[in-house]
Amino acid sequence: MARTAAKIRCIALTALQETMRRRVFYVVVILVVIVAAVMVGSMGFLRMARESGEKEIVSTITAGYVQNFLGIWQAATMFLAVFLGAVGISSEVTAKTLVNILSRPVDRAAYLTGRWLGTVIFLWAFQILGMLLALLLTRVFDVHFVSSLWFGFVNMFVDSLFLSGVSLGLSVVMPPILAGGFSIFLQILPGIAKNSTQHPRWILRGLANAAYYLSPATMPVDLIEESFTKELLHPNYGLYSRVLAENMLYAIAVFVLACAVFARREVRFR
Amino acid sequence: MSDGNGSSEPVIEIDGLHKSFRSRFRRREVMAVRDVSLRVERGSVVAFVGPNGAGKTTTIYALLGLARPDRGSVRLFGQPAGSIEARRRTGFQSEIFYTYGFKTAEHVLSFYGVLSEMSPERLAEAVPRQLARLGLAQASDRKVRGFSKGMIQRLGLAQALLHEPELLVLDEPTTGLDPEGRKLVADIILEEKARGATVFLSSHILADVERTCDHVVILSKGSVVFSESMAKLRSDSDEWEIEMLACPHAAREAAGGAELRESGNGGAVMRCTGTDKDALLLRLLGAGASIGVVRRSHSLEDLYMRYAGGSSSG
Repeated sequence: MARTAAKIRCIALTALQETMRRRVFYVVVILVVIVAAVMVGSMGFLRMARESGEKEIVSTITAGYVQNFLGIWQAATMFLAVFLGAVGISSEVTAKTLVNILSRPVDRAAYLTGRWLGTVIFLWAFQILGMLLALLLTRVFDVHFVSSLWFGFVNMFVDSLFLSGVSLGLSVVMPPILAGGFSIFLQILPGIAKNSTQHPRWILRGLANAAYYLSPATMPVDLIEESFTKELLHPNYGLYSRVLAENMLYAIAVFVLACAVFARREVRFR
Repeated sequence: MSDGNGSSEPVIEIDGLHKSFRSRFRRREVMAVRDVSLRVERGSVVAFVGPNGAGKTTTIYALLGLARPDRGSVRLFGQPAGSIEARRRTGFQSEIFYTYGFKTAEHVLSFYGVLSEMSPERLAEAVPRQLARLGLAQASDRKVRGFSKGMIQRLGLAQALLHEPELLVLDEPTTGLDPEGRKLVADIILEEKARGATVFLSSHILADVERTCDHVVILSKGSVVFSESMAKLRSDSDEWEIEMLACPHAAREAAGGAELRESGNGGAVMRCTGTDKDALLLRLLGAGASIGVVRRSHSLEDLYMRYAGGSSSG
């Protein structure tokens, strides 16, 4: 057990180091920084407006900015989660670094776990940075938010765990681009299927219902948005927790299935 | 190495291995290895030689469990190839050592050491020792990205040796090495044999094979076409070749049953044993043959050319 843990830690650390050197990460960071800098620049003018007495309007606009900043940061993290998950194995197959790992006494499930762990650590660190910057902005520009924001942050962490785990799992059985596309599709599937669950044609209704219940759970409210606009009247934290737990289990189930498939699959290095 | 009747437990047992691949787009079946059977005994050094595309790497991948046989079985230490236990006792160097360029040589070895279940204490002792052994001590804290091809190959061998495996599988270990590096690898193979390790290597460099191996297996178009111990090859060097510049019909008749091969421009090469040589020479000269060279045959290169020459696909 201790040996397996050491191997997983070692693979996770290498996956993390590898991710930190990926060009796509720097491209995403540069884009996010540019957009954030434009936003923060505009917020500076709003501070001046507040000093001249336009407090109500200014606080609404600054709250919107912080919310947008978090939205952009989250979109960047989701993109990285899908990308890093989907290319996790294929990049090692293409670079043939996987040959020297799988020729050692490394269980394939331990290898996948290490890869996922490294990716998740990276994504969560990136999200924590975004979260801290957003909190800094709320403090500097005196933006009010309610406690559900913390739940929104947890939801962001679960989303990145879900997308990276599902895309990594799917990349075992399909090319990276399909694995990435399919994991995004899975996340939007409940929204698409929900509209047809009462469809008059039984076949469409049946398919929509099956898709709705097979797809991951959706959060009933946008916790980040709600946290900046108004106080939630009846926050159902029990339901929110169930959604988070369900999605985490969903990702873990896909991942476990992927480990079982990967253990039996022949990896072609040609 | 034996063909199946060895008394000690073999380290490698391949029995009727077949492996084919399907091309990605046209789904055409390409037979990589067909009906390969061999046994490698403990403590021996076996060379797997053959042209590009002969199936050497596929066989090695089957040994490591990276390629699944279509038919036949592959066992290491009596365990199915690819089992954790078999991999625990095996060290592998790929033809080109692909690793993480952002790591230093020391970190690369530590990484593979942990994956090979080495304790931190063992790693602390083995990493600098193997780096020094492969002449990489000065480069231990340098990133692999900046290494020359030869240094990367030596690092690849160091990671294979790191956990002192009972079986070393080396795929073209001297690729990209200068003569000094090749000698170092040959010396290390002999040291490992002296330690009691079994070495299974593929190579194109026949001089290295002759220097280090106990047994040679020639693979061509996916099949074993020749398998013999080096000791037998050396003792059999009683075989001779008589090269004739001109070989009239009468000389061919005088040759009787001796093996004859056309060499172009009307010439031919005849093979015979040392005992028959003098009598055959007299008969050939009497029949008007023009003798060019009389030489000992059976260098590994001759065998290679005879069994695998002209079948390269790479």
